[in-house]
Amino acid sequence: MRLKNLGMSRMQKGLNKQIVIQISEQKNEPGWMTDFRLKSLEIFESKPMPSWGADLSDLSSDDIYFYIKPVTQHQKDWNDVPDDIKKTFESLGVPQAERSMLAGVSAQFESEVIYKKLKERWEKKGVVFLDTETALKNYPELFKKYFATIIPPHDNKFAALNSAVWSGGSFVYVPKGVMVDQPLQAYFRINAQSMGQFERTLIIAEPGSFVHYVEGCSAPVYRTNSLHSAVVEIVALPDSHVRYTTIQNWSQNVYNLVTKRAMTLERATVEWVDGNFGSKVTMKYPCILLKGEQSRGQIISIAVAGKNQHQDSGGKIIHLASNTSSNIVAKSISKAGGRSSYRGLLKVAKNLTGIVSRVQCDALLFDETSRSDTYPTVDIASSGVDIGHEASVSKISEEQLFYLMSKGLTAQQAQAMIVHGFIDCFVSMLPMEYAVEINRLIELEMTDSIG
Amino acid sequence: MFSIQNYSVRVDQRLVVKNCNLTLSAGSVHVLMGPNGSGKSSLVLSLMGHPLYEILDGKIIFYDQNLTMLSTQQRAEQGLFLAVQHPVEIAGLQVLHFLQELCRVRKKLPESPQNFLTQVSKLLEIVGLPESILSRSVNVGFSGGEKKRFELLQLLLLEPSVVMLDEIDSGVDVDGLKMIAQGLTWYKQQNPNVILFFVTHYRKIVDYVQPDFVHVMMEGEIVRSGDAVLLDEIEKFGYEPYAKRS
Repeated sequence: MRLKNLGMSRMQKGLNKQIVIQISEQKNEPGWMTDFRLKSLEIFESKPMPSWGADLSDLSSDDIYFYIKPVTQHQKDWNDVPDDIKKTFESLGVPQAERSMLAGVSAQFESEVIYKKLKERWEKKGVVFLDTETALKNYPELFKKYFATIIPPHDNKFAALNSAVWSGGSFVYVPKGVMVDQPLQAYFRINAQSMGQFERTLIIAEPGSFVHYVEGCSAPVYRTNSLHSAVVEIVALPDSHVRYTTIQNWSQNVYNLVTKRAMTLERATVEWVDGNFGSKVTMKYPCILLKGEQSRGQIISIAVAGKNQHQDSGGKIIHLASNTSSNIVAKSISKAGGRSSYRGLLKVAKNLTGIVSRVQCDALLFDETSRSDTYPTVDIASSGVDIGHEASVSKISEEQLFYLMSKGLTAQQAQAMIVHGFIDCFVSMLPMEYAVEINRLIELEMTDSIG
Repeated sequence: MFSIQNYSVRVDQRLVVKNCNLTLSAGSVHVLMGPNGSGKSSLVLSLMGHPLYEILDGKIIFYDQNLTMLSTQQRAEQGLFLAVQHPVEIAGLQVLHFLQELCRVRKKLPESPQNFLTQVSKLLEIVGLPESILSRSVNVGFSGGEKKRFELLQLLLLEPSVVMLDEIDSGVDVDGLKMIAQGLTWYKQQNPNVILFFVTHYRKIVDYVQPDFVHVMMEGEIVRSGDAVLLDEIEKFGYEPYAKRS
């Protein structure tokens, strides 16, 4: 799975029909996909910038069009990577080869071996785990049946943009009754291929199957192009269970505007586990459409907002069938003047019974200059609904710090420990190696906040 | 030897400790008594370096080291330990993880995790806490007694050389108090040089530990020091006789 030079390096900045057609041609796509891209481009152009959330006024069109650089062309010099990013790599103990890859300086190929081995195991069970382009080629019918059915291009401006220019991302298909015992880690696949800016991910879980998909890592991902806009769709067929875990740590210049949505059929379960670090602005509200009776949805997220950062995140749950249940736990940490917002939607359609929903959002503030807001929207059209909403804002207290320091911890260690406690319910959802990484990352974030 | 010399402390513009002098020699047991608000807690909090308490004057000396300018964490590293009167809750921070981190930071962690668990189990038994406490959040929903026992557990793990216990006898029932006293006695047997410094306004705990010295604090000053006989005096006449005649 070597990188091919997609030959797009001569494309000019700017987005137009020609470019979209060219992308589609170079990927050798079927006509329906070209048409889909073109229609999406029209939608993108017709929609205004969203003004209801985080401030996007600094996001210039150059940022948006920068994607045209093909994956193989983003090699730069290691010397161009900012010092703070290098320092973070060092503190996290990321090996040099991996650092280069994460900084977008080069692609790394060592992981190919691991990927191949795992791939053989999955393939025996009929599990498909591919990059999205290859899946479109190899599984055209399956692909077409589900692609863009959960998130159509007109959903929002950035979903439309992604639909027009998507490249990369994962395609996962789990056959009926298959339990994938180890998490599928995009890390291996992406390392073997480098990461995209407009990833498109589609996960299909057939009846009675189970899969845990994990993407991202705690090391900061440095990009010169400052817009990342992915789309993730999950189709959870009856009695299936999908858990999707993301941990992202973008460099401070990135606008991270992501649309994630899952649909559950009868008795299916979907869990979004979402950790947001870094970036300049993040807007991300994983959504679950509970479409089948007795299906369940859970969204657990943490966001850490530091200096000059706005994490606008949360979750959306839409109950469309009776006897469905949902749970949102959103934790945010604001420090050094950072801002985090919880934006949530809980919607219950008409004539439903047996709906249970719990929403809990907790904010932890480090200082007076940091900010936290909560924007919950609740729209209930049925009676007989059991709904609980809890929100808390707390500050790290001097007494807590003193208590821990009097036992011999430094101020940093004490803060990290309090934060560790605060996000424990998130960390406990992660595979062990990710939990370890998150804890290291939190400690690192604390170093910055104390100076 | 641990001593404070000409020690004065201010908090919120108020002078709460006035020109105190105390010398605690290795292996000695002291009780500091006095009515509520006499400055006892302020004294031990400031000795531990609480940021709200400003040392106006004087020195804290531990053997040949001057601790006055050290941070709270550095004082802990030097062997000071304070069991505060009201241990704070830290939601979500699992007791086991907390203890493990404490021991890691303080370099008290045995090589194998199994040994650590064995050690913790043994200490839990000594302080009379159930194993189930390990999976709870630090001090969250603990009864008064459990909080105090948990302080004792940390003490036994960290093995400090100067132990300050602020109202270790409040909120604890008789059995709990007995157990805490036994735990401290056991610790002192293992570490004969440890200095125990009890701060209390009852004499309950004193029924279980034999103090070498008793000090009386009134309005921020240590107005009287003596041996255990002082306890009987206080019991008979209260603190009134020690009040300054103005």
